[in-house]
Amino acid sequence: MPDELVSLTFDEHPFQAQKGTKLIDALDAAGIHVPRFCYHPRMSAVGMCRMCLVEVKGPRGVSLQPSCYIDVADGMEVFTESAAVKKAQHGVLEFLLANHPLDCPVCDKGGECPLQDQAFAHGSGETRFVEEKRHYAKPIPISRLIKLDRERCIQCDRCTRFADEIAGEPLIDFAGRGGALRIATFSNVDFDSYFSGNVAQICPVGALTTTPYRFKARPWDLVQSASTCMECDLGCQVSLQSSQNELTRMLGIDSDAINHSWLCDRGRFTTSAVNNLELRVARPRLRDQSRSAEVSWSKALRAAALSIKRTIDERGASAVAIVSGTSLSLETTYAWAKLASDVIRTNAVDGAADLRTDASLLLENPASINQALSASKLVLVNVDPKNELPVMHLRLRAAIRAGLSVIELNTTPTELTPIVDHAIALEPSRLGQAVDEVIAAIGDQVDDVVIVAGSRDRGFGAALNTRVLKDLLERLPGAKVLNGTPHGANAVAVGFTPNAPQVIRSSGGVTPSVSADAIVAGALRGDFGTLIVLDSELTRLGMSEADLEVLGERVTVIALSTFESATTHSAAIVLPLCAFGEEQGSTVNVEWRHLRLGRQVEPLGQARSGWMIAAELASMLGDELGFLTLADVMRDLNQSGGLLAGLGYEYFAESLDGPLFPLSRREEPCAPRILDPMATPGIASVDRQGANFAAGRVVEPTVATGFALDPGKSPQALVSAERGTGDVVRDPDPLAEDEFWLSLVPRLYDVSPSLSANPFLAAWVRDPVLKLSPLQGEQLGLMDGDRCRLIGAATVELGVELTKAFDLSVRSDSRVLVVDGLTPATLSLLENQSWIKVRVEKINGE
Amino acid sequence: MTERIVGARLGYEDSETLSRFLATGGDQGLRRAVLEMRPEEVADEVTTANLLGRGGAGFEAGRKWSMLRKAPRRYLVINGDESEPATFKDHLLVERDPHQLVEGATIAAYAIGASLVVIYLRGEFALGLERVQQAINEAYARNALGRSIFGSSFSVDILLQPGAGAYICGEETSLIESLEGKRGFPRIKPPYFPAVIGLYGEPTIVNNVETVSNLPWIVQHGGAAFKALGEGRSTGTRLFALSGQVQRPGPYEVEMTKITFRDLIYGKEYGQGLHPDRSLIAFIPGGVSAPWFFPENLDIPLGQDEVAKAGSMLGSGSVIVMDDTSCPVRSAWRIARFFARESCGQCTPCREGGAWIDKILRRIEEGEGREADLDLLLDLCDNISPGIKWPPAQTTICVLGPSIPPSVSAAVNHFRDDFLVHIKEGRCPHA
Repeated sequence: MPDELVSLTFDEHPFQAQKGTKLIDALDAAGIHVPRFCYHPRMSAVGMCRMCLVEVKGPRGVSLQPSCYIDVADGMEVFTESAAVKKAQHGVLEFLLANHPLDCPVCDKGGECPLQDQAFAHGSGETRFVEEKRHYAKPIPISRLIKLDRERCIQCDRCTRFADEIAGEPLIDFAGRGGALRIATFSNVDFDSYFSGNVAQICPVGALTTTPYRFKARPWDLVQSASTCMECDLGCQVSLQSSQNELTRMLGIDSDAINHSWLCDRGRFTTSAVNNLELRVARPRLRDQSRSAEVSWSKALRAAALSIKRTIDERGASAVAIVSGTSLSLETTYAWAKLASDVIRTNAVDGAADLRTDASLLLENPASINQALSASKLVLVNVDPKNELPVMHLRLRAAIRAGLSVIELNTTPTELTPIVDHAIALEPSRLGQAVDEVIAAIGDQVDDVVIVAGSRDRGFGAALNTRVLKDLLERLPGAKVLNGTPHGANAVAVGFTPNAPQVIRSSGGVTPSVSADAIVAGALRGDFGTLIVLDSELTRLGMSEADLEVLGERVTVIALSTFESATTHSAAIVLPLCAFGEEQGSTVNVEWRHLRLGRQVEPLGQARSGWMIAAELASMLGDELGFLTLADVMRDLNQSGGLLAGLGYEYFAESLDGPLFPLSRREEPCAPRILDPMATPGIASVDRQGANFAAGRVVEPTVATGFALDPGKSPQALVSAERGTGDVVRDPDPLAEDEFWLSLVPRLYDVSPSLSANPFLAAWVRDPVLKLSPLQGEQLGLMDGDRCRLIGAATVELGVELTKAFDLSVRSDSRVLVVDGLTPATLSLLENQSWIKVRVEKINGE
Repeated sequence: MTERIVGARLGYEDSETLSRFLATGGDQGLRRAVLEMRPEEVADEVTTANLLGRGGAGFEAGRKWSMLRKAPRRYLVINGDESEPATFKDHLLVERDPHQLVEGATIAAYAIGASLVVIYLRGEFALGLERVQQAINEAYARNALGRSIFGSSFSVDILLQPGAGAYICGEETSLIESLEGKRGFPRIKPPYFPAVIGLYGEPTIVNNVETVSNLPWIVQHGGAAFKALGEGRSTGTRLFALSGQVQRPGPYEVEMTKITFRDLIYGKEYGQGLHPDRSLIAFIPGGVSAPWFFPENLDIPLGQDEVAKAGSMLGSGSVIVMDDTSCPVRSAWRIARFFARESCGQCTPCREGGAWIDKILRRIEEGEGREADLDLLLDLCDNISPGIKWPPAQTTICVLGPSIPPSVSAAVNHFRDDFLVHIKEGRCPHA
């Protein structure tokens, strides 16, 4: 019975708690704080530090018990203030401090350290330990991002538990025993995990620090605001912290709806890219012949407006194309959508280049992340959470451990494949069969099915991907859909991509109908006069660097960009965009939850927000968007008729997690969270130092007043149409004997401008490889470390990597070849088709 | 001469051989069990015998078996990880009567319905490992093990697993973790017993080598015959490992409660007293985790409850004698150092407290002590084992940490003057 209550007493006061609750959580709920170090509410209890001992009266009399480890029971009598409890806790604290170095003044954790806080609150002030303390070599880099100080370690098992239990990558563990118990990596294998930064965040002392933040600042000097990580659209809630107008670090906030306090390293360390001034675009530039010169904003905007106007006049509005593949803020996306629709009036617009499915299908019956993770069956379709929505991978692992039944439908195995209930191969030649297998695997548990619809495999065409999703939805009429594409949620929400429901209410607006693939191909053919690239890299959208060179001769490229890239180097007009943390605003995530973006530092140089640039371009084009402030954009959005009707910043004042849209989905209440300093160390301590947590909140009183909210408003009728090539999808021709289907899948660390600009992450980018199971290797005569030539639309040379894990998960008759990693070269293998056939040749070395 | 049970063959030079085993009643208990008795009947005999576990805690073996959760798969683990200083009774049984161990383990497996037996032997028992493996091989060869034992419907396999050099793996939950291929960290309670959740999550009985070595005799002679030996809860015989400063240290099997520590240490058949011109200052009745006894305790009988009533335990059956040439500071230090080194490090009080106490005692022994260290030692002991009482309370996960305070507090409280001499003279007077 989940609702069964038990009655017990805490310090002789009666309390009730839900059966199955950990005693320590029940004590917290009763307002009784028991000190703790090893306990973490998002990980299993281990009872190792012994700090949370309380006296419990049971059948065998009163005994000291770890409150983190035992569940509440009816009739239990708990004593938290008795002399025995205080003595035991004091003793444990003294033991923990005995060998702990007295280097708080130079320790990064000093000021936000649970051990320091405990010592101040309950410590004796004087040490009885006169012996030599333990010594270790330090710091030890256990990965490129994490440094270990074993002398400070209190052996709480939080980092090792995180690596094993949460991340599923047990690359760190204890070595030695007794007083020599210490954290270690395994020989020759670093703690190379996408999630390594979390261990520094949850370390209750300064034993684990991140290389980027090490010695950067003191916690009490940091100011912070609540924000949302924009490296993917999962919407991880973060505390964005800065010191002296420089971003210093990002910490995960424990959002029950989204990230449970975890972050991936790509998100966590994105601040290092923002701070890399050398690779930031700081001022507007114009290219004259081969020379690029910095100019004033007005000159650059005039040039941009002139190019747009000339294209419209000479070739019609639809010869102006706008494309984006990253996550822009909601306000910027909306302003550009309005500019495109009402001012430029072009249909060649796609703000969700990564989206390879019909946008309308994502919105018909949307699921929240938590709904997906508590579904009767969760179907993953063409999505690799670990590489695309990394923290979703952690949430999925935890949910699977707790009993979630997952059916995975992918062209290529993922790291979830070994732990899902059913892994079904998605191949162009067996789509119908694959869908049948999914339906069979669901069986009669059809009531509460959620589909995560992704866009992972670039070799698996958008039309096929859409067809699979459509077929599934037809067979599972009640199924909800969670968007699984890592970028483009804002574009879908505001109708800034083909097939997304339109939200701009002006009459005669133009609807986007040309996909990013078609825009890129058309631009190369010279179909467009002006190509506007919003914070994206064209080589990520299928152009080669050689293409970029000729592109300028055919099209005027206007690049709005935060970072320098091949695109900014070749563009005619470059406009600097604010980086993450430099502008206020908001965003929606994959579940269409409205989340805040905090501004923590001044924009670099002359960088501006994207919505401002749109507004100014509109006025230079002789029109007005009516956006003078961020509030104006929000007001427009509030009155829009689409998904986001009723949107406003005032929700942010109510809770940390914003509301789900459409507002009729508010069935999941988002209560304000208590910030647990042990779950998210740093936050509370900084708060105490006077940096008001609310300081960075996006609260705009002018918006909050005067706009009626209509939570019951239903979304506008959604437009349903096929993305890409239309409804008719040709069945693929059979493969020739030496042909294979190409599967081209992204990795978290695929080359991109923000990664190249990140001194701490750039080294993680690896060359793409042809990934084979040993069996496939044998069939093709390829060995680990060989090089091969892949021949498709282009010919690409690749290294070969044999992956043992594939043997378990790749069907022995699989005709799919997996290329791991998107680069301009591997993207050149694609042609504008629903499936790609390739041949493979071994390159004989010398 | 008292009755010999587990040590009956030890007098023979070739006690470890199969021929000697078979010539001296070997296999008869097992045959009787699997061919003539139902498993419950075997368990009943053990309950009747009131066989107390010989590993240290002295829990009734029959009661332990009865707590076994019903499940299709059950395991029996034989704990042969004897590695505490001054313990050598299991060592002897393993090396000198491996067939009896295998027979006893098979009987226990039959009684509890185990599908697999793992004998976990201390890794340093090189000869023991060889001999037990040979005994297992020979048992398979004569169908005393494996499929349809002796033609009965009972089948079981025995695996031999060497330990990897950690004393803590003698703690039953830690042993199970080690068997599962994990770090030897004791499991935190609840669940309280492996009988509920044990090896690979299945119900598991962990029995000591000596405990199961008693089973062939009990099955052959009946539980009542076993119970007729000894008195009260202490039935049968026990193998005591007498060591320290006595004339004739060694293993002695004695009927429980029938003799006293004085008999064991001074008796002609046993220790034959101290070396000439020495006097007894203390002895440890049940291994280094037990509180010390002093000359006034010599007349306590060797019985479970009798020793418990006096504030200590028979524990692992090792009796350590200290005469007036031994330094109590050094003895306490050596014991504390052992536990500090063998602490798994999982929980704070044992990991940090043990290492700290080790450092303080070493400092005192080396002449660098301070008078304040004595109260500090007792207070640190109190933080590991609140109240320093017997049986001990604990702030730790397992009982390894609380094994330190008994010796340290006994030494500090009873030999305070010796400590003060160390501190004042800046040296060990016995060195």
